[in-house]
Amino acid sequence: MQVKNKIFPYPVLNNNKLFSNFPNASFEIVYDEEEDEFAYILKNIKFSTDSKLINDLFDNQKIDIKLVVECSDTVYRKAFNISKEPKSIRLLKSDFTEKVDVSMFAVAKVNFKMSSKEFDEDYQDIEFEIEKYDILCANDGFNVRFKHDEAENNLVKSIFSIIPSDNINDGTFEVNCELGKKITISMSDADFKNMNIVNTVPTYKEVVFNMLLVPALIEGLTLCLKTVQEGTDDLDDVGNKYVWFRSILMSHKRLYGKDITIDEFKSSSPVLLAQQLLGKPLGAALHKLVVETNKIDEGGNDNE
Amino acid sequence: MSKINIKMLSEDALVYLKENAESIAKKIAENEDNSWIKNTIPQSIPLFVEKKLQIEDFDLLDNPESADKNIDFQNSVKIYESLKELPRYILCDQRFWLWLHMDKFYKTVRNMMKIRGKSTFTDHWLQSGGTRRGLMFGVLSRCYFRVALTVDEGKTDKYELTKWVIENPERYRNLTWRSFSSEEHLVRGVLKGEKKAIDENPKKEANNLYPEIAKYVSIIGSVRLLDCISEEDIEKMIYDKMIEYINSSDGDEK
Repeated sequence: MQVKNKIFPYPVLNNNKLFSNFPNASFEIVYDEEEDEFAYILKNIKFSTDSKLINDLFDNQKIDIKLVVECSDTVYRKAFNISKEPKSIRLLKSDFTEKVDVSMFAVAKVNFKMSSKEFDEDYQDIEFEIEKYDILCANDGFNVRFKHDEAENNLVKSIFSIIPSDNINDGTFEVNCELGKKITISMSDADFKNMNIVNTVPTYKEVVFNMLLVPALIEGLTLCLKTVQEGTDDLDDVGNKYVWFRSILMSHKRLYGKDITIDEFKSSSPVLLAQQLLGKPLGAALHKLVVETNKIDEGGNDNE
Repeated sequence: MSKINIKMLSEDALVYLKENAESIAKKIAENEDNSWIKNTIPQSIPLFVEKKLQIEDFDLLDNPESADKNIDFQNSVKIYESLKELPRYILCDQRFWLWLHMDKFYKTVRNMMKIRGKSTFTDHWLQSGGTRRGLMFGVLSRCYFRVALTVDEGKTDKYELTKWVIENPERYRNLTWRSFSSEEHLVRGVLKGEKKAIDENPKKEANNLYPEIAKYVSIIGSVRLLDCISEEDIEKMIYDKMIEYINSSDGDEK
C-alpha cells in the first residue's frame, strides 16, 4: 500500500519530502536483508525518525508503527508492529510470488490533538484533531521479488510456447510476448502439424529454428531493448516484465560464463543475440541441407 | 480417502486455452465429459504438470447452476478444508484451479457454471482479468475464498458468515474487488456489521446497500490505515453506516 502524493486533511510526515508536511524530518525503515530456504527475512527491522513530535507520540504510546506487507499476486496483506527496537520478520516464500510491496506507517492509537513547529509554514500554530487509526507518517517503502523456480532445463522449452491457433489460417505465424510467461508462437493447425513432422527429422530441425524461433526471439529481444531504452536501469526489471527473459539471462551466463550487463545488452543486436542464444542455427541448417542435397545428387537420401 | 499429488495446467496448455478460448468454450458446452481434451490439445503440448505437494483426495456434490445454496455451502467448505494447507502461491495460481476445472472436477464445474459463450469460459474457467478478479470469479476458487475470507475460528459456528454470504453473494462480492479484502479480519468485521443491521431490519435488505458499504470502507481507508482497525471497530462503523443507509431510504426489498 502506497500513499504516493495523497493529501491528508492534517499534516503528515511523508518520507518522500516532496509530499511531506514536515520539511525537515525523515521517517525511515531500517533493516538488514537475509534469506533462507523458506523465508525472506527483514532482520533487525525498526523505524527511525528525527521528528521530536513523532518520537514523543510513540514514546507516549499514542501511535503505533505498522509495516504493511502486500502481494497482489497472492492476495496477501498483513500489518506487522515494529518499534525503535530491532526485531526480525520472516516472510514465508510459500505466501508470495513475484512482487511484494513493503511500506511503513505511523498510526494513531487514540484520539488526540497535535500542533508543532515541525509542520511546514501553512500548518504552524494550528491545532489538529487526530482520530484513532489516522495515518500520521508514511514511507512507501520498497519491494521484494519472490520467484518460484519452474525453469525448464531446455532453453527452447523455457522460452517458447508453440501452439496451433484457430485464428490463423493463411500460412503465417504470430508472436505474442505477453500472452503467457513465454514467447507464444501461434500458427494454423495444419502448419503446426507439419512443423511437428518436420521437427522429427534431424536435418530439418535447424530449418525450423531459423524459420520460427529466431524471428520470434528477435521480436522478443527488441521489446526488451525498448523497455531498457525507456529508462529501466536493471535487467531484472526486464525479467519481471517478461518472465521468459530470465531464461535468456541464464542462457547467456551459461554460454559466456558471466552475466550480461545492461550496457552490453543495450549495445547488442537482437538479430545477432537471438542467433547466438539459439546456437547459431543458420550455419548448421545450411550445412545439413547441403549434405542432404549432395546425397540426393549422388542418388540417395537417408531420410527416405 | 487417499492422498493425491496436486497438478497444474502446463504453461503451454494455458496459452493454448487462451488463444483458442472460443472453440474451447464450445467444446465444453458440447461435451459432458472431458475426453475431448486429449484429442483437441496437441500431444506435443504437455497438459498437466504433477507437483510434489499432496492433498487428501476429495469429492464434490453435483449442484447444477449452483442453484442449491446448501450444496454450494457444503462444496465450498469441502474445497476450503481440503486445500487450505497448500501454499498460498499455489492457491492463487490459475493453473492450479484449471487442473481442477479441466480435469478433476470437469463434470461438476461444467454443471455449476454452464458455458453460455466465450466470456463464461475466460472469466469463470480461465480466471482471466487479473489475479484478484480471476480468483473471485473462478468457479471453484471463489468457493474457496468465500470460506477463507469469512471463516471465524473464534465462533461456535465458525461458518456462520460463510452461510450468510453464500445465501446472497452480493453481501460480500463488492468487498472482494478491493485490495483491503486481503485482510480477513476486515472482511469479517464488515460482514458482521452488515449482518447485525440486516438481522435487526430483515425487511430492509437491499442489494444496492452493499456497493455503498464497500465504497464507505474505501473512504475510511483514505486517511486511516484500514489494516490496523480492529474487527470490532470496523463492525461498529459498518453497523452504524448500514443503519444510517437503512433509515435514510426505504431499502428496496429484495
